[in-house]
Amino acid sequence: MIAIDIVGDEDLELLLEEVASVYGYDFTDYSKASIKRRINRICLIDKHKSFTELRYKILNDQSYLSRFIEEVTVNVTEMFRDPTFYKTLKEKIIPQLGVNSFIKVWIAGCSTGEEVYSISILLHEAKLAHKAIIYATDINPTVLETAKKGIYPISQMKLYTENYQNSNGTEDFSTYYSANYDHVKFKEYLRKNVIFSTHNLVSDRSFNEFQLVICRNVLIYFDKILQDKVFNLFDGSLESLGYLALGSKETIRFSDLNLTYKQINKEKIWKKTR
Amino acid sequence: MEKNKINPKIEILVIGGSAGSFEVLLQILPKIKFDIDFVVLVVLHRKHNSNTSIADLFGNKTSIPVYECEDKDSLVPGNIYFAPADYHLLIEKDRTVSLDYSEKENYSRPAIDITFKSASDVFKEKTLAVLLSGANRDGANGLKYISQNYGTTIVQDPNEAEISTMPNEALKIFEPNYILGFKEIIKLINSL
Amino acid sequence: MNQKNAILIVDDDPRNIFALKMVLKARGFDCETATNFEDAHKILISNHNVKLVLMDMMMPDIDGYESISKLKSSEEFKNLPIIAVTAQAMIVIKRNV
Repeated sequence: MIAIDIVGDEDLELLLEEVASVYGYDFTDYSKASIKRRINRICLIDKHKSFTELRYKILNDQSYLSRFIEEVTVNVTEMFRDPTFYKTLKEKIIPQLGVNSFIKVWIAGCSTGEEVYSISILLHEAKLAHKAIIYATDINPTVLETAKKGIYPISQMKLYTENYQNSNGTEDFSTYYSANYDHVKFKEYLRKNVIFSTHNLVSDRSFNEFQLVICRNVLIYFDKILQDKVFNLFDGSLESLGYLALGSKETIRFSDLNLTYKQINKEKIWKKTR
Repeated sequence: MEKNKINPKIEILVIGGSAGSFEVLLQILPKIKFDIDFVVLVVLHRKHNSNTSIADLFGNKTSIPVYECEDKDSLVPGNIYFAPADYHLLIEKDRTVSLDYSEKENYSRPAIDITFKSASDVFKEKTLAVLLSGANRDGANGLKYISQNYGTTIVQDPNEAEISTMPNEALKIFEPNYILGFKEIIKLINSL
Repeated sequence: MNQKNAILIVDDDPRNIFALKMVLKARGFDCETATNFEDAHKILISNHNVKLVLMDMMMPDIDGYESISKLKSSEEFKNLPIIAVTAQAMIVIKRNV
C-alpha cells in the first residue's frame, strides 16, 4: 500500500523555507519530486502522523535536524561504481594530471567516502599520490566521520573487488584494507593525502582551484537552476584544461558550460577548453 | 472489458516489467503506431550492465524515437523513454525527469512503484499504466495508487505472463480496469 | 608544468582565508589554504611549490604556536618561512612566537 503523501506541495515549500531561514540549510532548489519523496519517507519511518507534527519536531528539536539532513540527502554510494568510468579516469585522465607538479582533486558530495578511497587507490597506483591532495567534501558532517574512518561492511567487498577488476585494476584488491570480523578498514596511507571537510554546494563558495572535480550522483537531487549555479561554482574551481566528472546519467548539456567544455570518450567527463 | 472507461486524453503510458517482460516489450513496443500523442515511459528491472544500450536495442525495432532517460530530460509526447538501470525515476511537475540513487525499493532500482506513483501525481487521471510479467511484488502498490487517482490500469493476464507473480500480486490487492494478453494490450494502446 | 611558487594560508576562519587569498591572488601569488594544522601538513608534504606559510595563531586544537614549533622541529620544514598572522600584537604574545 502506498500511503497518500503526508507532506503536500505547499507544506513542502513552507518547511524548506523555514529550515533554510532557521538553520541555514537551503533545500529550496532541490528537485521537488525527489525531496518530497524523501520527506514523506521520513514521516513514514519516524511515524509522524501529520505535517504539523513533522514541522514542529524539526523546528523545535535541533538534534532532530541532523537526522532530517541525513535522510533528505541520499548517502548511497559504492567503490569503483561504473567501472568503465574508472577505467577512463585511470587510463586517460590521471596520467594527464601527472604532468602537474602538484595535483589537486575535489570530490564534492563524497558522502561516506567510497569514491575517495577509489580515487586515492588510482593515484597511488599511478605513483602520483605523493604530490596529490584530494579534497573530500560533503554537506553532512556525520557521513564525513565515516569517510575519515574508512571502515565498511565486509559484505560489500565482493562487489567492490569486481568493480575494481572491471575497471582494469591489476592489484590484489584485498591489499588495500585489513579485514576484521564483519568489517574492513582501508589502509591509513590511502587517506594521508585526503582533506575531509564540510562544504555546502548550495551556499558555500569555491575554496580552491583543481585539475579534477568529481561530483557524481549529487546534482540529480538539484533542480535545473541550482544545477546551473553549481556548474558555475565548479567552473570557477577548475584550472584551465581541468576536468569535470559527473554521474553516469548526469549532463552539462542544459548548462552554459556545454559551450566551453569538451566531452572525453563517451564517459561523463568533460575537459575545460579555456 | 469496459473500453469506455479509458479517459480519451491519456497523456502518459507507463509500463512496468521485470523477469519475463523483456520479450513482451519486444512484442508490444514495435507495434505501437508511430503517431501517438502521449509519452511512453518504461520501467524495466534489469542487470546493471551498461554495455548494451536499451535505447539502441528497441530503437532499431520501432519508428518511434527511443531514449534512455538522463537526469532532467523532458518527457515529450510521441517518444518512448526507458528508466536507466540502477536509478529510480521520478517525474517533476514540469514533466522533466529527476533521477534518484537512493535505497532500493522492493529489492529493485529502478522501482516500478516509485515511478508509477510519481506519474500518477503529475498526470493524475490521464495516466495509463500496464504491469507485465515479473517474479516480485514491485509495481502492485503503484498500480493501485494510479487506480485510486482515477488513472487507467492494465495487468498482463497471469495465464499468459511468463512469470505470473507480479501480475498476481497486483490482482490480490485491487481490481484493475483490464486484465489482458499482450495482443489485446497492443490493440488497446493503438485505439487511444 | 605548473611550478609556480605558492603561499599556504592556515586559518580556521574561512572568511579570513577568503580575504587573504583575494589580496594575494590579485598580486599574482598562487595560494593554498587549510583550516587546521593537520590539513596544512598534508598540503606541505605533497605540494613542494609552497615557499611561505601565513599562519593564524588562534586556532582550536593545535594553535599557531604549536603548529609553528612542530614545523620548525621537523627536518623537512625547518627552513620554511612562516609569518604569524594575528590581531593580538601585544609584546608578550610576540615573544611567544
